[in-house]
Formats: sequence, structure tokens, C-alpha cells
Amino acid sequence: MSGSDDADKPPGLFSLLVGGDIRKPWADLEREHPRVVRAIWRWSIPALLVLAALDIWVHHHEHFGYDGIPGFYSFYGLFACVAMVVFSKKIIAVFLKRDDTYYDPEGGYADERGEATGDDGHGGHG
Amino acid sequence: MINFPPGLILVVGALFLPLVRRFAGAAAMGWTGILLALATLAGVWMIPDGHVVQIAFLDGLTLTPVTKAPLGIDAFGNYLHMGADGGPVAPVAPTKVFATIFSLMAAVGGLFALNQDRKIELPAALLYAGSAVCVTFAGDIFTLFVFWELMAVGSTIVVWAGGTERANASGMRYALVHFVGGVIMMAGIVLQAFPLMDAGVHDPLALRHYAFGPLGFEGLSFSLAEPSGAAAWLVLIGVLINAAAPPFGSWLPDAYPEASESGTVFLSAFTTKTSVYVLMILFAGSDLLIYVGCLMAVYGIVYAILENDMRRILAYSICNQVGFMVCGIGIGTTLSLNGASAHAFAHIIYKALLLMSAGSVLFATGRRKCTELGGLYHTMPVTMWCGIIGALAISSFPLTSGFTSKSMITTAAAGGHYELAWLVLAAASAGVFLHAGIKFPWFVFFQKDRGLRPPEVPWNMRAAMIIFAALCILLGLPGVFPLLYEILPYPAIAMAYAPDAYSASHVVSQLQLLLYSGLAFFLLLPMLKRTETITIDFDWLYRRLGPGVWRYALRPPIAFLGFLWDGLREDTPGALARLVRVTHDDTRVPGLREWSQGAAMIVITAMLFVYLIISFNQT
Repeated sequence: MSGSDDADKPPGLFSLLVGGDIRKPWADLEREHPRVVRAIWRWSIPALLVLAALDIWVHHHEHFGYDGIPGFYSFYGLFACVAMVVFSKKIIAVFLKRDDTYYDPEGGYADERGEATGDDGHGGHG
Repeated sequence: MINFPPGLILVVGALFLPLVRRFAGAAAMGWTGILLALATLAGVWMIPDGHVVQIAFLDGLTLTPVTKAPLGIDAFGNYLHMGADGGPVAPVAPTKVFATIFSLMAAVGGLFALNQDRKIELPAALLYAGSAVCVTFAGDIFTLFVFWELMAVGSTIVVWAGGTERANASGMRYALVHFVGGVIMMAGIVLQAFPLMDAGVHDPLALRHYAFGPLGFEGLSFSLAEPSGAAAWLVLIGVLINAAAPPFGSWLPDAYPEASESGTVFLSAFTTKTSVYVLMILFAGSDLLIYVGCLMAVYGIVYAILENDMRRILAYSICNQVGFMVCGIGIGTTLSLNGASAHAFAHIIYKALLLMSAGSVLFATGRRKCTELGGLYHTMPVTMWCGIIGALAISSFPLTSGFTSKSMITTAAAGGHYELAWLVLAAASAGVFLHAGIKFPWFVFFQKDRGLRPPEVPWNMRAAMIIFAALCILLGLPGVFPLLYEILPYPAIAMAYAPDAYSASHVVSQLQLLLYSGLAFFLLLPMLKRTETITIDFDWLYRRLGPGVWRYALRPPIAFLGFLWDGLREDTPGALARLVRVTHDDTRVPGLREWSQGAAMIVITAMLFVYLIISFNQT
């Protein structure tokens, strides 16, 4: 059991927007609760837009000149997260990522409390 | 009237717990531990404000094991300047708020651990918790330091109680880092204490002489030439090591996730938050801490994003959250110090809750990697809901405890016009939701269904989670959260802020940060795909670089010189055989006996030589 997510073919930003039916990370959830997942997708985008639009009525006390602009917090939240993910996945990870058996090649994770892969606590690798 | 620090109930009681286990069984030990923690909690509340207990110590010194009085003036004879919102205010130790949450944490942690009999873990954890409570009552630097070190002892045993090879090795590294930190801090204390004694100060150990405060720490322009300057730096570094600030912080994600399911819960609460307490009384208002805090907040997120082990994700998010508190201490206004205290209180609860949830998953499945987990919502609803509540609280969602505590820090940053700090904290607030708020529940309980259908965990683990989940929500409810505000160090300032906590502007701006962060998470899910990797942290220096230098640069010449020495004294074939054994057996670390006398003599001679040069230069 490799345990990787290879089977879930990632949809990518593009296929997500065009609605391609490549296997999505939430595919298992969607198969079991199709209506819930679809409803979340259908309502979340309008909800986000309404939330950003609330700034037209809600007054934010300006401290730095730009923090009172309507939608600033929405933009900044999205931008900061994208920036941090790209920074860690595309810069930090390139230099500092190692196998998780890097420090102890023999044991790794498998030696503790029985086998990590067996449901009964001591099953073998499948 | 209690005339001893209430934490001693736990410290002394913990030593007798093994006897209880021996004669009455493991369950009795667990319940006794919970009762001891509750007794400590009662003791914390029974000590009235302003109460001080002093005892004589050595020759003419006094120790202050119990104090609930303001610290008075700082090391330089000034009141700490607290900024625009409070004017000059005497520093107040946030004893009550920290001691309350430490003892509560010990009780609920004991409940969580009740069904997992690990002999030594509970006594060690309670010794650790009790010492943390004692630190918050210490009125002199010596008492504080003794319990500070006792915490290191207790927590190391908790790591070792994990019982695996990895826990053993990790616990050893943990102990070494903390004892080195202790030595650095002690050096700073000595450097400050002896000049005070020479000057004839009547209470050279009193904490106020070590409250270095903002003076000299604006920026990085602090002079090492003065003794109190060097002392301040050494004490600061000693405390920052325990606060897990980079570059000293990698012991935390190294050690905490290797402890047992319940051990990690205990560990998450005390060490870093005691450091927050000590930073608050000794270094409030130091600009340097603003930058340290910002660095911690971002570092925690960047590393957590790359992690695969669920408890390592949460360990890095401790760094991130402590970063908020350290930043608040650096800002140093009454509002931001209130915020840091309240955030520590809320943080201990929701972080313990998250780690209980992760510990329950580990307990039920034996798995700890996100790549092996998923779909657990089917059979572990209580664990899932409690995990989600903890995740919402750490993200500071409105109506949770994180919202009412963290906003004080960000408001203080904006009000003080710390633009960089404010931008970083806002980005970090969004990032928390990304790396802990959604990532942890999503990859563990949803994402890919791996067919795992473990049963829900035993009642005591569920009860502990439900208690803390309830607190996470209660402390976020309008009308309830002021109860926490009342025990903060500056209650009047906090109560004045309380009506503003749920202002429309706060709620809307926080929701925007969080929900757009959530959007980023799902848009970037393909990029966030888990990989079976770790990310190299500063512990690489002592896990790889140090041993490498020893093996390839230091060991060969020492072994060779030792060989020469032995050759002069004894038979050459014997020495040669030993040289071959020492240099060619890579499979194990050579014990002391395998080294020849000659090599030891070389090392000692070299050390004495260096010592001679140093002392010669000084005279």
C-alpha cells in the first residue's frame, strides 16, 4: 500500500473552472453525499461574493490607508494564502524536502505500535 | 490561606502517584491525578491578589515562591512604558490566567489519558504541569529557574513515555536542547545577579531586576558591552529556546509528535506557554519580539503546509500560534499583553483539543500520516466534530474562543501602527485556517475514503474532548467571554475592549480573511497533495551536520593522535586494532570504553590549552 493520492487525478484550477470530470480530491465525499457537495459548491461562490460586498456597508477603521478599501480582507486572505502555499511548495520544498525516512532509514514510521498499514495493528504490507 | 505555591500540590503529589498505582491500580492513579490537578486549580483561586510569601535563602537572600502582586518597577528603576492606551503602567504578571489554564489542562489531560496506562507518563506530566504553575507564582528569578528546569525534566520523561525508538532518540535531543537553553539562561541570571549583590541591593534575586523590558531592545542595537546587556541577551535566548522561536524551535516538531497519544496533549500546553509568560514579565515591549513573533507565525505555516504527519502539522501550528503571542508581547501595550494572555489561555484549550482529536485517530487506527488517513467521519463522529471545533477555534472563527482572544493582538498592532506586524498577522490569520483549520480535518476525516472504519474511542477520551470543545465555544460567545477578560492582567482595559470584540467590522473582516483562505485551499488542493516527506528544519544542524563534522573532521585526527600516544606507551598491535575498531565500525556510536586513553588525553589537553588562552587573554 503506497498510500499516495495518485489515484485522485487532480483537477487543476482550469478543469475546476470548466467543470471537467477528472477525479477530484473530494470525489469520495461527492459519491456518498452528492447533494451536499454540489450544494456547497453552488452556494459558496455567491456567499463569498456577498461577504466581500458587505464592506460597502460595514465601515472598517482605516489604519494604513488601504485597509478600508471594500474587499481588502477578501483579496488579502486569498492572496496571502496563495503566496504562502506557492512559497512553501515551490521554493522551500525544492531545497528542504526529504523522504520521511531521512533521519532513520531503517525504522521510519513502520516500527511503532505495530504496522502502520494494518487495521488490526499487526497486519503486513498489502 | 495557602502559604506555598499551589503548583506544589501537583509536583509533590506526582511523586506519590506510582505508589497509588502499585497499591490501588492504574485507574486509581488516573483519578488521583485528576483530583490533584483540581486541588491545584482551587489553590490558584484561593490565593488573594497581592499575597506574597517570602522565605530566607542562603546568606541574606530571600526567595519569593508565591506572589500575586504587581512586579513594580523594572530593572532600570522605571515603570514600563505601555504606550498610548494605558500610559505608564507597572508591569503586572498574568499569574492567574496562566495558572488557571495550566491546572485545568492537567485535569482534562489526565481524563484523556485515563484509559492509557503508561506507568510513568502521568506522574511525569503532572510534575511538568505543577512546575509550570509554580513558575507563574515565582517572584524571584531563582525559584522561577528551578521550576523551569523541573519542567524540562518532567517533559523529557513524557516524551520518553512514547515508548518507541524514535521517542527515545527524540527525547534525548529534547533534553539536550532544553538543558543547553537552561545553561544559557542561568549564565544570564548570574551575569545580572552578581553585580547587583556587589552593589548591595537588598533583594538581588527579585524578578523586577530581571524585567529588562523594552529598554535597549529597540531594534537590534543592544550593546553587549554592559553586563546587564549581555545578561538580557542570554536570558532572552534561553527563554526563546523554550518558546520554540526559530532558529531554536525545531525541538518542538521533533519531539512532541513522538510522544504517546496523551503525552503530546500534555506537551503542547506548558513549555511554550510558560515561555510566553516569562517573556511577558521580563521582556514586554521589546521591539525585537515583534519581529520574532512575525517570523514564528509565518515559519509555522510554511512548514505545516509541507507536513504529512498530522501531529507534526499541529506541532508546527503551535509555533505559528505562539508567534501571535510573542508579537503581542513585543507590541507591549496593555491591550496587546491582555491579548497575548487571553490567546495563550484559548490556545492551550483548542490546541489540546486538536491534539486529542489527532491522538484519538492514532489510538483508533494506529496511523499518523495524512497519506494513510481519510474518510474517518463515517465511524468517529465525536472525534471529528471535536476536531472541527478545535480547528475553527484555532482559526479564530467568530463564536469561538480564538476570535475573542486574537483580535486584541491584531487590534493593538493596528492601533500602534505596526504596519508590518499587522500585515503579517493578518496573513497568518488566514494561513492558520489553511494549514490547520481546514487541512487537518479535511485530510484526516474526509478527502479520500481509505476504507477505515475504526470504532469511536473510549468514553474518557470523548469526555475530555467534549469538555474542551464546549470551552472553545463558550469562550467565544458574547456574554460569556468577558469572564476570561476579567482574569487578564489588565482587566479594566479588557472590559473596555469587550463591547468592541464583536463589532461588525471585526466579524466581517475576519470572516473574509478566513473564507477566502478556504477558497484558496480548495483551489490549490492539487498543489497541496500530501507527499511522504519531511522538511529539513534547524535540527538538521545537530542531527546531521554536527555528527558529520565529528565523524569526518574531528574523529580521524583524534583517533590518529590517540594511536600515536598509545603506541608510545603500550604494544602497537593492540592500539592498531582499537583504531581500526573505532574508525571502521559505523553501525554504532562508540561508547566511551572503546576510546583509548590516548585519545581522551589529547582531547583534555586541547581543552585545557584553549582554557589557558582564554584566561590569559582576560588578565
